[in-house]
Amino acid sequence: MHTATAATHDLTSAGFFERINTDYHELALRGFMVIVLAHWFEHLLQGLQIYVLGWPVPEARGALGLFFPWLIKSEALHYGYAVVMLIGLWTLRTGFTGKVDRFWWMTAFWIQFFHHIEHAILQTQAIIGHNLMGRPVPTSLVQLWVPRVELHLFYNTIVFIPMVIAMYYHLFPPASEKFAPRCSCAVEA
Amino acid sequence: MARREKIQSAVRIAITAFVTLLLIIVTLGWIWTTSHQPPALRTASHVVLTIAALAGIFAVAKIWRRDTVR
Repeated sequence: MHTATAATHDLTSAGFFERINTDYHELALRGFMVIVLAHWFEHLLQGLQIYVLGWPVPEARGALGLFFPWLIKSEALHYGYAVVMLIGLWTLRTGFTGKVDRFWWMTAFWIQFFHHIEHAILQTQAIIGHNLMGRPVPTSLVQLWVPRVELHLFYNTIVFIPMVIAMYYHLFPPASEKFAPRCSCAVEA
Repeated sequence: MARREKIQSAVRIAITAFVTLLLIIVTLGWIWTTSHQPPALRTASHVVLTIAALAGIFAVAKIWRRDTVR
């Protein structure tokens, strides 16, 4: 009876969000980091394909694109990943109870928010079939000035760096931090 | 060395290794864009690649600071 009640409680959305920011914060962050690193692998591999192997930019589609070229060409995949990032950064934020780790985590969130808007603009063009400023391919705002590969290398970096700093301070809180952690992430001496 | 210090060193080294890889790709990108993009796009690429590199260096400097030890 007690087990059934607990299980029912855990299935509520409030219970779920509470759990992933307390008991399961460490596990959720690890899972999130696996997704982020897999995405990074694709972008770094794309960089290698262009900058080292000399592949033409449209042909350099990372690892997934070798097997599923249509998938990488699809704006929906890129937009989907941007949304996953945004949701992950937002839902896992309350587990960051320190001043420093929360600051860096939310910095990553707000940068990702803008990055997500850029992808939403690309996705909209793909859906309506009209590209910004009559360009031959869907084009985001900053992409009017900066080529896509370098721009997304930049976006991914400036989201990832504050995220990593946040996670580092979350694992190893500075001496000046006085807070009660709600999760098991901080490494004890 | 205590358990915490060992884990902290491993995390710092892992982040530093990733940033090093990122810096290598950014440097290769800088070289490639210099010879493959027209001047306006090249300058824009150089600006964003430089900011990405500086962000990576900032992260490494930040995590190796002594004030992160509680």
